Amino acid sequence: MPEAQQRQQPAPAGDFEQQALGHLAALYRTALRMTRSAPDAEDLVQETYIRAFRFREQFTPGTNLRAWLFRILTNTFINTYRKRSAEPQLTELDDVEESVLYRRMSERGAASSGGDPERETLDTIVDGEVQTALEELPERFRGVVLLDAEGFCYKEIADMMEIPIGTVMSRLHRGRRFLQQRLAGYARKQGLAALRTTDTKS
Amino acid sequence: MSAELDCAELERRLFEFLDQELPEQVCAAARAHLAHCPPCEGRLAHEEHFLARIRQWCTSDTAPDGVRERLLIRLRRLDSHRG
Ligand SMILES: [Zn+2]
Repeated sequence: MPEAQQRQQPAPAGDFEQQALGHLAALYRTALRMTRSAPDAEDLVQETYIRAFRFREQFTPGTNLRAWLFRILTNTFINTYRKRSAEPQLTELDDVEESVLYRRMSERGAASSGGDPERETLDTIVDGEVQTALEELPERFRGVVLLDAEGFCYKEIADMMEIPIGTVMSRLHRGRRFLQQRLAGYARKQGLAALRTTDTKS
Repeated sequence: MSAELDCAELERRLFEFLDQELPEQVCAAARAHLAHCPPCEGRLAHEEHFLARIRQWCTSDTAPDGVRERLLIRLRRLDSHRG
């Protein structure tokens, strides 16, 4: 669904609703990945729209409606859904400094195609594995990764999550490294499986 | 003349560069470095590809049937309660 920026004009009644509903697909996909549950995602999105319509006077016409809606979504998620689940703190996130897979594959000297070895491996990762990796990403990291993917800049994400920009940067950095590490793990298993197949053949 | 930027500094600010969040001067220094440093350029291309994939995964649409309809029903019910 295209979400072309509509020019803000003196709005007839109902226009705000129409414009807001144009962002449903993006809000829902983010809600689904934040809550990791379809019923929770639907509740979260409904709650977001109810609040948006209730507090519509607080929206300044001409400013970014999409960002405003995502802010409500993020706030609602943090204040309601997050309290339900106590997540384990993954300290291993602190230790990921390097692009693990890149380094590992480079060391192996994958010269076969002359291309980026990790890129090729990355392309063999299937959607289900990405979903798993995203779900395993601790929530405070998942949030920034999702909002970044929706095209928001550091400042906008900081405003939405009510955290400093420096925290956005470090969470993004560590979240991305975590995903790389996880996906490298999947790729390694696949690589080993492929090796085993080759061994049996020869 | 913008300040020099070495491999370590570029590595540290790689995501900021890719996210287009670097101040213009630093960004120019990063581009200048990349122009004559193939290892960093390769590294950048790799990270760029990875970021594109993550963003693609995170934004693929997932809405099952009925989400919009049920939302509209709930909003309408709310409207009628408000009178
Ligand atoms: Zn370099």
